[in-house]
Amino acid sequence: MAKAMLIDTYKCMACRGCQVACKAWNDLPAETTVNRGTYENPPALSEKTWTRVEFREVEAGGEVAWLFRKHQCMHCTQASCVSVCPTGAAMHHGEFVLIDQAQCIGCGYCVQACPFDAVHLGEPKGTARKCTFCLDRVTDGYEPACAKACPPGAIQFGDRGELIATGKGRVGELRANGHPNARLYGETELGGLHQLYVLTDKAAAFGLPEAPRVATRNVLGQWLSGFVTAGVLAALPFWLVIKRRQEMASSRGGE
Amino acid sequence: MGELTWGTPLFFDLWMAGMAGGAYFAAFLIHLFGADEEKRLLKLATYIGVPLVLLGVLAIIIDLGEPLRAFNIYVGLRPWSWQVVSGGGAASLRAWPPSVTFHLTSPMSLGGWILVIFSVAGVALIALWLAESAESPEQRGGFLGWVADILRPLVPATKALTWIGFVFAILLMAYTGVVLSASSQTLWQATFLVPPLFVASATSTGLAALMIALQLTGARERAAVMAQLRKALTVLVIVQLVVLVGFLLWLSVAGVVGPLISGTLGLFFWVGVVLLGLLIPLGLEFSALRGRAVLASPALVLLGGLVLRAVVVIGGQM
Repeated sequence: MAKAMLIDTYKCMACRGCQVACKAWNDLPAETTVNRGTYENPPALSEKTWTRVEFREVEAGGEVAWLFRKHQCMHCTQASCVSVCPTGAAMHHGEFVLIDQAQCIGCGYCVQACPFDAVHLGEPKGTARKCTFCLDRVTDGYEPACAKACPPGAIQFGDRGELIATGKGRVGELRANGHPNARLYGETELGGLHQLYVLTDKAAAFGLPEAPRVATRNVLGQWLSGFVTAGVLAALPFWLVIKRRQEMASSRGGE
Repeated sequence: MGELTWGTPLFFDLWMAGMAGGAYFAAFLIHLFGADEEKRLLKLATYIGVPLVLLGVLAIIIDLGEPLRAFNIYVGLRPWSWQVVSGGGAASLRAWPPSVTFHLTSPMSLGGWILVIFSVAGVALIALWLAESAESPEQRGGFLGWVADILRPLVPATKALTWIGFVFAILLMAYTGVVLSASSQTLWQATFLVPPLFVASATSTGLAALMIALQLTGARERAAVMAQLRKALTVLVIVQLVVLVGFLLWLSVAGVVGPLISGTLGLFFWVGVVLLGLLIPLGLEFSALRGRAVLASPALVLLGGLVLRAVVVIGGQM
């Protein structure tokens, strides 16, 4: 049975307990930051911050809505990082996506490929690092640290199928109670994410791509576009220029 | 904008690898179409191509987070992890036996192999050409003569090798674009025209490098060949201009052209890529100066190619 987490953005109160629990369990150091006029902190995910709550202010019907979303690796079924990794360090382990720290060379391709900006290299660079779904807890039957810590129960850990059913129920409740755009995110995106969201608004309002796509979806066409260009260049400048020269040479020879 | 994950070493690599592939591609075609019967240009392209590729590879290896593990691109040999069993059983099982790493979906994995095969083919070609031209060991003696004697029976393979070099030169040029476009960075993946743009730039910078090398090595009948190359370069610059316009149009339709054409990056783009790299070389060709400033156009094309790689690589990460 595939495991997953369901993050209910309606229940999230942005206490950032998940951030602290993640740092504590995974032994990740703090980051030095400055006050940017927001409670959101640190400013971005990094190689030492694998999850954080994003704060967004959205205007809706003349009122300001304050939206919170916990951001981390989505553990995609069609994972771009796995597709582009040249060494095989980024890999699927069951339903989870991991980066084998012994295999990773720190090329940064997964950083460029991730549609959710969830993988990072540090400064100085090392290996690419991201949320591991607390595999070391989950394999021993515990829930991930963030889910364990969440005071309002906005992060639920469990069987993916059951969580989807729960999420759909929550979306129905929200739609009936003043959130017409509420939706479940992650059920089908990229073959199914293992971080599911109950969103109170459109995906874009939470900084999520409406239709995330795999980085390598067009890779064959992109190779071909390069080859076709090489063909055109072979014909246009070289064949054209050289052929004309040859014709000139042969006509001169005939005189 | 935070630290760039891919910075200066990467765009230098894309520039140099593209130039190497482009020089070989151009020289091979000129030879194929009969204008370079002595293979002078092809040899020149190989002599400058191999070091360029190796320099480019060195640049990215240094830029890796874990440079000493660079060989992981080629083999799954991990002696340091033999006793480390972390991240689940599957990871530790793969440590032995060593396996060849080859990921069809990863342009960087393919690129790694392309760089190696192109370099090996280039080195082999250089060795065979030297063996071909070396005198017999009786006359020359010593170790090099002896090596040349061993290699001489392989000389008939030269033609096949030049074709392998040609195929991998095309792959090399295409790789420099595909490696960017297979990503989630808006500027790189919004259009199919990054590989065509980089292939066009690789060919023009490659030909420009050839022209400079030819001029500096003082080849015989230089003027006649140079005139041909200059014409070819002009056509290449026009093609590149067309591809660039298509690239910009595609990006503006997608609504993501902003970072490339505005701000500091935009200044570099308009001045470095468009003006210095394309328009001035084109203008020089049709002006009275063209006879006197033989190296001006090639040098500007080279510079334009570098700035193009830089603005696209940086712009994609903004």
